[in-house]
Amino acid sequence: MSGHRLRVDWPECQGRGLCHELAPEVIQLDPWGYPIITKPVEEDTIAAARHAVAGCPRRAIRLEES
Amino acid sequence: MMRPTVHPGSWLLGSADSSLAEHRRRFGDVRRLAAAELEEAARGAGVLGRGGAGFPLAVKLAAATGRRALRRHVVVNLSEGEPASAKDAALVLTSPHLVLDGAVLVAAALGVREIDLVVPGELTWVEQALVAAIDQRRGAGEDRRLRWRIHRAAPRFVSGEASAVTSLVAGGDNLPSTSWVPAAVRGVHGRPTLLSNAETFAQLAALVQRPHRVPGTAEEPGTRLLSITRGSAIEVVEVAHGTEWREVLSPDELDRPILLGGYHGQWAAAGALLDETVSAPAMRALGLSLGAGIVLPLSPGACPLTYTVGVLRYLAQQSAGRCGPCVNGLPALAEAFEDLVGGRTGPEVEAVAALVRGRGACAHPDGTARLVASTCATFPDEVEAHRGGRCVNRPRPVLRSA
Repeated sequence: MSGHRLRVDWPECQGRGLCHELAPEVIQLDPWGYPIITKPVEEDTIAAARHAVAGCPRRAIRLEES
Repeated sequence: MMRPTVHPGSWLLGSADSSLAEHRRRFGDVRRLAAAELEEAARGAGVLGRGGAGFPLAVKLAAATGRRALRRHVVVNLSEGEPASAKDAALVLTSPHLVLDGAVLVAAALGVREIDLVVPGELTWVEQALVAAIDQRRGAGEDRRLRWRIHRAAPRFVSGEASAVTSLVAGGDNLPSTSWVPAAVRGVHGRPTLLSNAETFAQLAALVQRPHRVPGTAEEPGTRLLSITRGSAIEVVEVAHGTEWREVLSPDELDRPILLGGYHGQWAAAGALLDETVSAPAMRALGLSLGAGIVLPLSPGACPLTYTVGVLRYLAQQSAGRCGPCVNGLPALAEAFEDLVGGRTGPEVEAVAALVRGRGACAHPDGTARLVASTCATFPDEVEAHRGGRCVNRPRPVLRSA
């Protein structure tokens, strides 16, 4: 499977933090509450990553093929 | 920015006479090339973007023409938001028609009838010189089927960033936004947009219209416009690729640390450029980049760390305020660095830099982190001294006045 990566639309992101709740395997939060993408999305984390994308109230995360 | 002192050059800045007649005498008429021919010319001469990133123009041209589209856009970026840069202003003052010819050349190849020019909003003299040049062309009956549109960029460091410029041209705000694909693919109004720095257009026009006596080297044809800060003035010089830095800067300047590429740039240590040439590969070999050609020799006897503190404070203020990591991280980074320089215990500078790197719609956080990393890597002795509450550039402790 080709890899995927999460990309944040930074001006849209307001640091609500839901993405971290939904996909802590690949998303941490910085001291101000904004997401840190910790690694590329693999097969075992893609479901969580999709949840994070769908769950963002600002629609500020995308999953892209890398 | 004040009006720069412009030194005559061999090519782009080759004449003190900025009139259309003089320009046509030196560079001839605009040549009409098909998109493929223009791309080939840009590829053959290795034309790289002069806005700072150095992206190959041929690749941009290919991307802008590769997809079917009803309309495309050509945008000339003259906004020059970096306070230490004045080369685009110098071009407009001395060779406006070379910039405009480059735009006409690209517009003709792309089938575009309207050219967008983005000027620094606060510098009325740049806009006036450009408008005067356009009027000359109209008066001479040139570009009859073309429309020129002028847009005023906000006086902000990040106003010239590609997504901020395409937004401005499309009638929106002049702020960076996330570009999921390059402007050449989807730019102004989602259409293919050939956006480049004014000097890029001028270099292209000069290469195409006067191909026989191109300065520079075989590997790097053409010249570089450098904005050199001397005291409180900016001097713009044109330098052929391959020229020794000794011919550009004084021995005294070469003997000081030099910030190359502007506030998002990197430090050349004192003496590092002494035996080097003005050339992208030569600078790359030193881990440096010419960027947009900004050259900032540190003032004699000044402390590079203290200087960088000032730059970081400025850069933090220049955040467009859109992206959380930039809004919060840049002031935090400036503060962490200031703590280090002041000999106070604070968060690890590199750890804070890591929190901003790659986390914004534009390159502002990355550029700021780059400056911090370069400062720490170039001046390890100074950093150690400051950690201990001393400054190697100011051996005697500063005494508090009684």
